[in-house]
Amino acid sequence: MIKNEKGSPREAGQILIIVFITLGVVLFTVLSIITGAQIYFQNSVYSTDAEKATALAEAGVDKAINSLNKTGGSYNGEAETILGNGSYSVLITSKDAATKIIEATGYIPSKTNPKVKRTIKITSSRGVGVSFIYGIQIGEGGLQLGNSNIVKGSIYSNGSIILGNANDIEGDIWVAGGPQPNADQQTDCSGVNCTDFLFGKSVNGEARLAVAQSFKPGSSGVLNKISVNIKKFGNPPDITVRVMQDSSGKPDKNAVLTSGTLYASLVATVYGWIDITFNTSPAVTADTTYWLLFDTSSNNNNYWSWQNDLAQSYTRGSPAWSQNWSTGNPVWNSFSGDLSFKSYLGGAPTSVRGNNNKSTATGEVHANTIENLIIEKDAYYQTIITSDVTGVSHPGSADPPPKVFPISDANVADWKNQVDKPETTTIGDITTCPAILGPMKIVGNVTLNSCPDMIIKSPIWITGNFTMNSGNELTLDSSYGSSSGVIIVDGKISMNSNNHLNGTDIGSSLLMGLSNYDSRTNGVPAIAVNSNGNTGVYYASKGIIEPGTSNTFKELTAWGIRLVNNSTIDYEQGLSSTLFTSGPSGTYSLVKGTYQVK
Amino acid sequence: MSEARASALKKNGLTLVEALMALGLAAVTGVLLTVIIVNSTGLYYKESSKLQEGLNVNDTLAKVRSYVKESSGVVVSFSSGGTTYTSEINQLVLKVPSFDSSNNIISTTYDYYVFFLDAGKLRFRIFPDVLSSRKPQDQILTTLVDTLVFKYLDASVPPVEVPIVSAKKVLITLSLKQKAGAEYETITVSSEAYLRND
Repeated sequence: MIKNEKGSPREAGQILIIVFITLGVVLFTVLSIITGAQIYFQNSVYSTDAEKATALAEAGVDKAINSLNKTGGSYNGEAETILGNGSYSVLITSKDAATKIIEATGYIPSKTNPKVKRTIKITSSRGVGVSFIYGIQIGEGGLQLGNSNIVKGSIYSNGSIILGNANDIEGDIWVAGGPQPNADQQTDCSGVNCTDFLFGKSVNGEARLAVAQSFKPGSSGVLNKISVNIKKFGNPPDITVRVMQDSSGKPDKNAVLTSGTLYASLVATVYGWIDITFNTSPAVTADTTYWLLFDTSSNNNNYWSWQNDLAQSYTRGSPAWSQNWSTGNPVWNSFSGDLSFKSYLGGAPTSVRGNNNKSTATGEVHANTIENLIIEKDAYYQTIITSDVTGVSHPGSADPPPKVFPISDANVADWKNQVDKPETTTIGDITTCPAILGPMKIVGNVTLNSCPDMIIKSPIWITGNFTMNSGNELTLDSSYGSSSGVIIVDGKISMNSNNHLNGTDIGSSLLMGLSNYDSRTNGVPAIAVNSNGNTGVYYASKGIIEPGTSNTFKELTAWGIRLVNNSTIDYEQGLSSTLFTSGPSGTYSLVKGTYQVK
Repeated sequence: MSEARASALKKNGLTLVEALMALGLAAVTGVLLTVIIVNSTGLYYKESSKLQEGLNVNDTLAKVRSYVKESSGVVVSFSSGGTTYTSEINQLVLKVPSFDSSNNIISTTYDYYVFFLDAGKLRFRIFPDVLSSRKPQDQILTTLVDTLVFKYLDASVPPVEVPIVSAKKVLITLSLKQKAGAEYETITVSSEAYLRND
């Protein structure tokens, strides 16, 4: 130890030591913070790069779909395409004649030296995606159940439901507030006054991304449904449709009354009336201006056309377009014409009513009036009569809005167009059992008597009636893979017993019987099924289905259904993403439920 | 200074005034240095907490987004092993298409992803279907969770909250909270993702 002259330890310099310690602590802290900041920065950069790589992979998928449609399916992918801060590659694998598997990988910064990469695998198919999300979906004609029927799935009805004794609904029951049968407001065009109003793309330098048509209701009530006459080009995405109040002759961006979706899958490449329903049914006042606003994105290959009436025959409203309806001060541009639409008000009273031997719903029940039901979950209603609710009761609940059907008239017209050619048309009735039938148009009736093994190629369009006696087994050709097929009948479909319409047995493939027969005025069933052992999926958007006794169906959709006794609807979950094949002119689109991040 | 006086100084040490001044200076310096050390240590804890929370939030939200994108829909409830998981404000149940050993989607078959809070931890569980090749998982995505909020939105712009079964995308807001010295450090981040398979 260093000592001073008297031998005591030298005491100078202690402060310096403390200063050094302090400096050491400060230095450590500063370095830690800098290091931490560096780690955080790197982590954030990685997270951002991972999102960018995912976005690039999704861009690759979009490019692949677009290219498949442009090349008629001969696009084979690409090794590496530079885009923004990175690149993507696309690998295409054919699953079957109509189905491609797309595997797109995004790289940051490049494929040869990637810091981050993400791969997305998805299936694309040439066809029309249809989503059956209820075991039974019924239009304004409503549902009449006899006794002791079992529905394994939910029911959505735009009309009233009348139940017999001891029916068992293993799901939810929804009864919408019924729309009035006739449109409150409507406008359409004729002849040379009908023109296209294109939107969802740039037209002559105009970025038409939002299009609106104003209207004034003739009477006060709730707006339940609208229909528009529209067609699509390419494969545009779904459109959000809003009902808005008016502000100085423009849609008021701060006063959206409700919104709904125009499903692109319902729209064809030719004009057709497409129904749109909303999340809620807003109250509207007579002679007050409201706007229907359609808002979409811009894509010069995938866009829309709304039919425009140059005669301007509608005197209670006008159309306008905007590049951005929700910006600070949106600019709206008026144009000549009236965009074809129909608006329907609600008000038709609806209910679900059981009989003395109460029917049971294992799920929730939503209806204006509920009577004689055992409800194992919650109940939402205005009026309830002699019913047992195990869950929570919600008196004063608003009526559910009506739902549109999963297949539109435009879809049906598209299928018909595929076979409406001389080389695929047969004139005259068919009464034998051909080994393979279709794709074709049959001008006449088809009557099948015990055809035990008939292969069906979709679509088949029968202009007359389709009768199956007993023991007919119709199976969609295996070349359709997991896709589905359809038999369209302009007349009535009737069957006796043990008739089966089968898909390919791959995935959720099905063969659907569809009748265009209109039962709404005469009450004659469009599809009449007798008893015992009939199966399949049936659809009659304007007709009544009578499903008979002791039959089993995967799904039924109709304007009205009269289910007699002891039948079972056993809804199959896969029907929520059914894909119907289309012809060579059909476009590729993504198959729901196949998006995978690898 | 004469030699005698210098010698006297050496012999007698500092004067009282000098000693007091030296003590005062040492005290001031010591206090200042102590303040610096305390503040520096506090800053270290605070920044370390921020860093840990920031990293946790980044990683957690990236994982949740990825899982939401894969899903076919938000499920109202799902039961397994006697436990029922219900989608609500701080719990999320997703159904995700199952895949087979060749990595192909199995039609109409679903696995279930569940996110839920467990004593300040955000847990994630996978319940695969018996036919699925997806492995079951039970992992903690992050600790230190203060609040967790799921919102169920439609696809409109701006998005609107909708019933769970109608959700097209999910907005997650995650708040992490950690004690940093005498105070708590909190970080709150939101992120959203579309249900790509819906």
